[in-house]
Amino acid sequence: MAFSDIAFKALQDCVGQDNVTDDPVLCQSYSRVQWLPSGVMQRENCGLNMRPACVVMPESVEEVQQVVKIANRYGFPFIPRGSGFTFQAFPTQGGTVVIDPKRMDSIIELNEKDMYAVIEPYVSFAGLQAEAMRYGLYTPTPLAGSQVSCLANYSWHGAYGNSWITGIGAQNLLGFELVLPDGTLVRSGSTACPESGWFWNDGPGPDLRGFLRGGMFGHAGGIGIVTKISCKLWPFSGPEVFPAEGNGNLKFSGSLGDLWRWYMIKFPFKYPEEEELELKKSAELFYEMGKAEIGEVATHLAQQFLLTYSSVTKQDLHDNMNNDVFPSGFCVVALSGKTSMAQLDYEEKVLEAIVEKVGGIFVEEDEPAYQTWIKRAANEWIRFGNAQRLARPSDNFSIGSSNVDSIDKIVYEILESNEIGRQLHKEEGLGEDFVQPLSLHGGWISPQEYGYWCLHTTDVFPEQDPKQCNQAIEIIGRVAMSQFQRKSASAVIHLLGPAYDMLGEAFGNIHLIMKDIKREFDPNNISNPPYATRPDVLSPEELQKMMGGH
Amino acid sequence: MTQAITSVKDLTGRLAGSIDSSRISVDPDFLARYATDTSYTMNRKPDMAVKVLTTEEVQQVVTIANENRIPVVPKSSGVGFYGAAIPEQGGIVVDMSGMKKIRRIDKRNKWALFEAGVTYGELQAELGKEGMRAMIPLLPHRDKSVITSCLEREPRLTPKHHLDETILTMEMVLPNGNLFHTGSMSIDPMAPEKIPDEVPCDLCNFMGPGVDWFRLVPGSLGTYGIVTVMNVKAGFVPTARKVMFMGFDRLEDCVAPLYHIERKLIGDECLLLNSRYLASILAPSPEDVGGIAAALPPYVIVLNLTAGEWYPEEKMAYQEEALHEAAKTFLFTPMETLPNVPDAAAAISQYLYQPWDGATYWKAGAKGASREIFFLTQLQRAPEFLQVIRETAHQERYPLDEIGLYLQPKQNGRAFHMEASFPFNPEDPEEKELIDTVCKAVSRALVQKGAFFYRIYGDWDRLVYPRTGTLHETLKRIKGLLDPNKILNPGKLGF
Repeated sequence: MAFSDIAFKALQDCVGQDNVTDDPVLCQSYSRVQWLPSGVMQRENCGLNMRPACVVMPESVEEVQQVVKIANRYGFPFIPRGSGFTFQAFPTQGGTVVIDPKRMDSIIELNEKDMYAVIEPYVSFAGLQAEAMRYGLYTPTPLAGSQVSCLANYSWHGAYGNSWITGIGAQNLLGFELVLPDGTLVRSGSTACPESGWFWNDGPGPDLRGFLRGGMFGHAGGIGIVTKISCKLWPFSGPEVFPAEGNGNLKFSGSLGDLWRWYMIKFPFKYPEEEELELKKSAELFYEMGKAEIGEVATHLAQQFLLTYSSVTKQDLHDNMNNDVFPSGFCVVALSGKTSMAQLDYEEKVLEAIVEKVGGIFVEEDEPAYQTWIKRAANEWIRFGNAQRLARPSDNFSIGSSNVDSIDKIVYEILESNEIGRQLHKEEGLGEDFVQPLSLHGGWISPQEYGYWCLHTTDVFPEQDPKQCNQAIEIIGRVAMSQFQRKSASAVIHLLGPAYDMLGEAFGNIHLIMKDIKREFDPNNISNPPYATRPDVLSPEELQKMMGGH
Repeated sequence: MTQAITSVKDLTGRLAGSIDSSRISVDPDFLARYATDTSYTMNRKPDMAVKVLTTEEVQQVVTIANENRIPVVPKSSGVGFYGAAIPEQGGIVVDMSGMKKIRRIDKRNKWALFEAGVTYGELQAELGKEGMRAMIPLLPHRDKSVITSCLEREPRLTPKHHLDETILTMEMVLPNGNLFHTGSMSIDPMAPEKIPDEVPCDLCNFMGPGVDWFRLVPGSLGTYGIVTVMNVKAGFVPTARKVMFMGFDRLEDCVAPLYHIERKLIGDECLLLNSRYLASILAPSPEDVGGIAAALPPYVIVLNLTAGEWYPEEKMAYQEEALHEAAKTFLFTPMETLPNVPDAAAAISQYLYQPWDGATYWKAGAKGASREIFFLTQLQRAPEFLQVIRETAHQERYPLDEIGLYLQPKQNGRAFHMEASFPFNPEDPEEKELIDTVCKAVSRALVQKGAFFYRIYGDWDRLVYPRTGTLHETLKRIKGLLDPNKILNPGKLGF
């Protein structure tokens, strides 16, 4: 059903005339997500259908409920949006309404003693971080950047530079308030009980976070709109305020104080020829650190990762590349004296012993890599992330492959995925115009929760050009299919949207369960279709067509 | 089409085709063991009990039961405390207590994979051979299944944040009898212990597929699916450890020090007990509890300082230093032993790592049984809830000095499991009636005050869910999708 004038009028009545618009210029601005290859291709394939029929800005959960009920009445699809970072937050079909939560931007509670915050959808990480640090607490900072919606990131797919102790978004979400696709409001965790407050995540009974989130990527707005969450805050041993040093262009990194120490660790191997040895040694470092339960940050940053995140301008990036500031990937570790200075000294001593045991070498303070990463980027990375730098090489970026499993299997998958990428580059010319060699080697190893599990990403950097972006998507798809055929642990995290139809049968027919959920909770299929999955079961012919013969 | 089952005899015949008949029982005397548990809240026999030994046997029972809409109640432990495995509507008890295999231990990735009937003692014994240990709750019963304990979300003694959620992957039987694997175990339907050898997967990803089963299934009391195999996080046995005690006259006085200890990450295992509960653990026999309790401080924080393989003396030293600094700030005295219990530290040091081994379970005490009420709270609200417990119990004429109290920090002090225990004599009808009245009244008063009953047993569903808006309805809708015939543990959670 097309979006109608009467539906528009109903939305105006609900949120007020000033808070809903169908102005083509304004609506067009909600159709741009050019920094992801999938966004470029979505725009290329959908054209003007990517422009929403209108944008509505509710102010409260009650207004969100009303908007959703209007959507059900008039049959138009809606997209719950946070800060609009990913391509799933953009329309693919005409007549779609975008629900923009800009007016729901309050930190409702910041509980110092019990280390949590209650926030609305448009609270950014930057906003929450600034408040939390005033109370000796902090939030992890997503690689998506400090500008993104904290709520969306925790409800969906957050990955953090400092998740050695914090885990990813899944581990940071406590209670939540969700408007289901039929307009019903449901609350989970302790917030479900009005007098209990927002401090706790599971129950009463089954933990509804298990329904809200799924796999690595959640449901992408396919089962309603999260309107409030409580999230964890973590003890922070750094300062409450940061002096402005140097200039505003982040040429120097504000100190995190005496109770925070950074280290860069390298291994004596040639890059990229001996990348496998370097990554495996990095794994040994993390396993040993995990066993000792030391550290605040422990991660292996790929060469391209270090380059992009430490560069404040494109010129800076290319200078650092030309000067070979980061001749390989490096392990980056931070220790934090949360107990005391004596604890910090102890952990440093243990780290030194472990690094020696695994054959690592501490990067000296006067080395360019240390000067560039530790002195200019590392502390900012803890404070607010710096995400848009990901797009610095080409104004476009995508994760080339990812996995969640053990540290060992992460290393395996980085090596396998990059090898496939190099083969596609060599044999089929895929990615030959990308920013190379950044798209062919390296990977981010992000051990979680003292190494009990781990995730990784590799990167591809096409230009904002449909041909190149199409190639990027082809590479990503081929790598993902390879993971599935190899039965790599990584295959399970790719289940979202069409992947349910393509792969669900191999995962205990999970696609049928997900379609049951979609039909039950979104009977009109209006909550960000086709996420989490389309409600109907595909015929063998449709499936064959979707798979493109693979 | 298979003929419908209309009698227990039919059902026995169908199952006997695939399960050894010696493990199928319809004997009323034998079935009586499944009719009640130590909560003494219910008495309802199943029509049949099947002692299964494999996941395939669970599948066979559930498939047949689903086709014939026969209730199925999973039971993994040889003991029950809260009525969760009592068959409210008869049917079949699937007794998995004989599924005893510890399938794999992965020392490098710090997990153990085992079957539903494995107890803490059995798991601990195997992990100990590798220098490892299970993440254990406070002195679990020796017959308690680890999988049941994880699914019931029993609080662990370690408050470390990364060990709050310990479930990694699971093998489940869905209500239609289908086999289902969660997390990265779902990568292949083969026996999960073979997966790390056969494919590039170490069973460390707990998320998906689809929804996050590792969260949705726990707390569901077997109503969403039957977990047959699970791998969970494990830890290493410390190379050095030292138990410290801190005594306080009032619970209010414990709040600031305990917040500080947790915020500063001092020590590992940490718990707070009142003198009655602590005496129940330390007393050589139940008759000695009263005397020992009288000599103890009313409230005691127990803190276990530990160190691993690297420079253990130095780690112990900085923790002790931090604790003594805290003592100066908050005016308490760290003690290495307790009044009248000279070997308290040595005893507690053992108890933090093992299930209860005594003849009488420590919570039952001299009276023979106890009923527990537990919930989650922020520490700062704990004194307020203690007052509610005491006032309500007093109104119902329950002796206050018999109430046990236990606070367990979770996620480094973000929340606390708070538990009150009410011992009673199960052979005395008047006491049983009193305990029912007391527990109902205390539970109601606590819920009204805002205590968060996160684990739902017995009639707490009727007390809690009406206050939670549409949550219960949402959970029921999910139940309807997974188990449209409502065969799994019907009646529990109001399903």
